[in-house]
Amino acid sequence: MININDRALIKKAIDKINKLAEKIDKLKIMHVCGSHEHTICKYGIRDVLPENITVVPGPGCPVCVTTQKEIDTAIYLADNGYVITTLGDMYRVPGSEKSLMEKQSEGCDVRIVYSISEAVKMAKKERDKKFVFVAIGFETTAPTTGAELISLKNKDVNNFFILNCHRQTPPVMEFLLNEGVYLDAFICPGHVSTITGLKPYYGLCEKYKAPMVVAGFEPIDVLMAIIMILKQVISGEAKVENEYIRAVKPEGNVLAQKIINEVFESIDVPWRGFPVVKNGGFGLREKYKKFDIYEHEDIPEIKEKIPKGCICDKILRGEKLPTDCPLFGTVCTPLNPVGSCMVSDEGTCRIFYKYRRI
Amino acid sequence: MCLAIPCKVVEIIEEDGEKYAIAEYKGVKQKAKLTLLDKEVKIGDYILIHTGYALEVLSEEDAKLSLEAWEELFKALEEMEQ
Repeated sequence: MININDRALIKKAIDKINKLAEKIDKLKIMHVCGSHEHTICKYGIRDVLPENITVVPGPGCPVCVTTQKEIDTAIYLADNGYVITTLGDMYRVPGSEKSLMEKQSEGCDVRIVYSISEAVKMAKKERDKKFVFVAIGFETTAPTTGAELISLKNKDVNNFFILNCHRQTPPVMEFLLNEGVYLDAFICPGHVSTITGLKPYYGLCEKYKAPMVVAGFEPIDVLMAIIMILKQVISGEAKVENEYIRAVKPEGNVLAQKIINEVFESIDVPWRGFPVVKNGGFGLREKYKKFDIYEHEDIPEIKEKIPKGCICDKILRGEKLPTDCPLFGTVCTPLNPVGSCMVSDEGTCRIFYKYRRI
Repeated sequence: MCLAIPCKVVEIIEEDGEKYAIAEYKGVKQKAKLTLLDKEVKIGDYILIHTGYALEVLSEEDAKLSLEAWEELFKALEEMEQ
């Protein structure tokens, strides 16, 4: 493929940012994607930005925003004879007492899968066992869950369920613009946007007058997105733009959208670090509720127990950075994560631990 | 898991009535379901893979468009400066 990370182009972009920044007072940009944070930290983008431009990580990691209660629910199900299937990241996230990994070592049947497809195949093969897939992820992953449930709907499979933890990104952006820290602009998530297209951002952009640029995941993409935002701010504009044109169509992936809309409807849900986010979740529609573990099993009320000293909530809301946390890199490490943000490769704390501990 | 990287399609297969692409990234092959794509995928295309599914097809042409868009943006910015 064409090399888009041309050194001369990157230098040109950095020079342009520094020149444009002279025309503004301050600019605070949030991204809501762990992959963007990875790029920013790995390539040291914050280090080349002028002092008046701040890029803040937001709640862009689906593992991180999954609540402790949801993890404890998976643990409860494991204790009650269900086979828990989960993507690798979720395996190690602590609940109030334990993680799924610890439950596995105690003898519960917990299996890591790379896809919901794999979990469905297991359920078809092992009819005597009841399977629950921990369905996390934003708009990027929800269609994969949806596609599997559509294909299962009319089949004779009654031992497969999901613990639905899917979340919608634009509603949490609105929450942040409304009630969060002060923000000027968003770098919008590239892969979520391959599915949604640009449509979900127009209303937010107009209502809150916040520039919104969908960006790809190479360093040049992030730099160009910052330039596009700067250009808007200097011109007094606020619009939705697509920096990631090689992967994001304005209309998005229409087939995936149809699948999402067939299977899911918007519901209000809590996100870790947030109260309830209006329309922030994907609930299963009536036709698909037979796959909802909450409909099938009576889950007891589970009280959350936030670990002392953990500031994942403030980090997820963009109020603090990992380096502000007293546990960061000391008590809390990838090997012994206290909070969820230290577990996933997309978690802000994990990324900071890997690339910048100071 | 949320990471999605462009992989080059080296093979297209059918399995249990479902179409899959076998795609390669830095020598590592991955299998991706094509359920979420309504356009045809050809060998040599790049696809974004996420949790076992292809989300989007990229092309060499799309990358060229990015480079062109960026150059146009730089020109627009130079005009802004004058």
